[in-house]
Amino acid sequence: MQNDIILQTEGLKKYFGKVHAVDGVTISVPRGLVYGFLGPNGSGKTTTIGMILGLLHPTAGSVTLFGERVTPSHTKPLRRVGALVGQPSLVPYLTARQNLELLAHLRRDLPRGRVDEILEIVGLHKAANRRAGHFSTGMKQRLGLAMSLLHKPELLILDEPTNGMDPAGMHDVRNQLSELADRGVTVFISSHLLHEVEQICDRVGVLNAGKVITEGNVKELLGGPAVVKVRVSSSAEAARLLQSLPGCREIKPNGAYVTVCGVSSQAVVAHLTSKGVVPSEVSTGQSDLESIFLELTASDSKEG
Amino acid sequence: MFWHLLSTENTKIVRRRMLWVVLALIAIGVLLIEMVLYGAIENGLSGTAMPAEDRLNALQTITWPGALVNVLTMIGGNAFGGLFFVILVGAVTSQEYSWRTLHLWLSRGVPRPMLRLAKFAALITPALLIVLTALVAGGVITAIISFNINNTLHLDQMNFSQLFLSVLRTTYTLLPYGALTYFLAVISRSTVVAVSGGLAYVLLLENILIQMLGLLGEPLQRLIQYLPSTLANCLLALNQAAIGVEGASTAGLGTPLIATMGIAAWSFLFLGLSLWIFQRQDLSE
Repeated sequence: MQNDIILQTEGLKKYFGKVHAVDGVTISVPRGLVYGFLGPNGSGKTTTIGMILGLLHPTAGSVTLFGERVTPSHTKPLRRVGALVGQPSLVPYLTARQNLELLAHLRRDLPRGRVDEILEIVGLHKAANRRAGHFSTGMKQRLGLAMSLLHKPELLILDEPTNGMDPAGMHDVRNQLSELADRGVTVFISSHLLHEVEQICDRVGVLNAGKVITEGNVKELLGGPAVVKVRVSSSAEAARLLQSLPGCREIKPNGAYVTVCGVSSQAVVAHLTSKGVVPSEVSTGQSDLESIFLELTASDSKEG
Repeated sequence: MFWHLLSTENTKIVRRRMLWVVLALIAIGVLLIEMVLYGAIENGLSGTAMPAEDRLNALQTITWPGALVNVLTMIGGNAFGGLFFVILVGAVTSQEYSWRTLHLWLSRGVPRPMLRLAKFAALITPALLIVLTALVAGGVITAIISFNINNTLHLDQMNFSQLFLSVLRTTYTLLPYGALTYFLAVISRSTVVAVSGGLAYVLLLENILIQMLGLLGEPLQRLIQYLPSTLANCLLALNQAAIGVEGASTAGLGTPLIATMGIAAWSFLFLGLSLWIFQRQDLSE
């Protein structure tokens, strides 16, 4: 795996009047990695992707792809990129095959049979001669994915690629992305399905209110302090008692359980027992991406 | 890349059902108009004592070769053809925004001006098909009428190379109306605005403008000859002369050179504005 940066944004901003949709986004995507671009709805993910793809004019900042600046007036580096942003862009009165053939027509370097191959890969070979306008949402997503992969791009940019797909479809896409990553294709994926992102991404950037609040390798983010989870008769009472335990933080009562960070399970059990509360169950585990994401976006919103 | 794009855009247009519906409507419309004309002229010829010159003129409009010129005049930019071309251009151009197919090409590194140029150039194909459909439909029905009246088609009076040029000239007169609608579609991104704006100009605004300029007297009155409608009339009048129809009047019209350049100027003006606006547009969800 090479560590050169394939996609970089610096201080990228997009203002729509008084709305600061994207406010100084700086991210870098190394070659060969799967990069997860996370953020709640309206955080500016799609707008950022729109600027990366030359569809939107940035208010300020820059986008660099393969070492070359991209603007709506200069999009040549995008020829090495495949993209699926939001709803797939399809010609509804053409069949799936005809849609792909139109795209293939622009790329004379594609081998014969590539259209059939890609239809097979995304599982649309049986529906190849049906009009795209009659497809279900999931099938449209598959066709959109096929169109983005047709010319064997070096960088794949996907915005919510599994939208509208059934669990089997999502599983297929996940596998395809993993295979692509194994073949050295860099993948930039925006998704709100954090479990999905956690399974396939090497690196993530978290966006909130148009700003990047953290960026790093998934392993580093998940390798934070262990979470101790105890089952007690009264989680609210236990949470109150744990506030006096030194080093204990992120105390969250949740039903019959309380989760805490920053201390060992032995310390938690000893502290609660000394206060007359005996836990009936104790477990420890690492934070998952979802809890990290929720924590980051919640604390950022409070600060904001 | 431009030629590949143009070919792609042509394929997209030709595979659209809407194009074939429009062409069918044109064919039916022309057939009906010619049949109504025939009925009216037949009644006129048999009912009253028509002067010989009027009788000849009336017959010329429904028999070959004059009928072909009549059909081409009917399908010109400032007439029947302009209306259908405006509807087609408005729908084809603005739907690209709602279908997000523009995003498809742009996010693959196709330069914006090239994409817009290719999409405009591809509209020449439906313009040509509109004229040819009218000519074929009108040609067939008036051939039958000609046989019925004259027992001949007067093929000896036909100049087929001039007929070919007339088709090109007539197609050319559609372009400024198409370019105006194209511009309205790009600026509004709406089929309703583009089509209604284009139709309003063809049916209403241009006529009002001509009336107003006429009332203002010289020198503003001279501007009338530079409006797309007058320029189109000038070129369509050439069709009559070319196919050998007598009595073609060019009074009040400019020269063919001015007409050709004027139509090109209007077309390039609206195309240029479309390119300029498209270059600055944000294409979001």
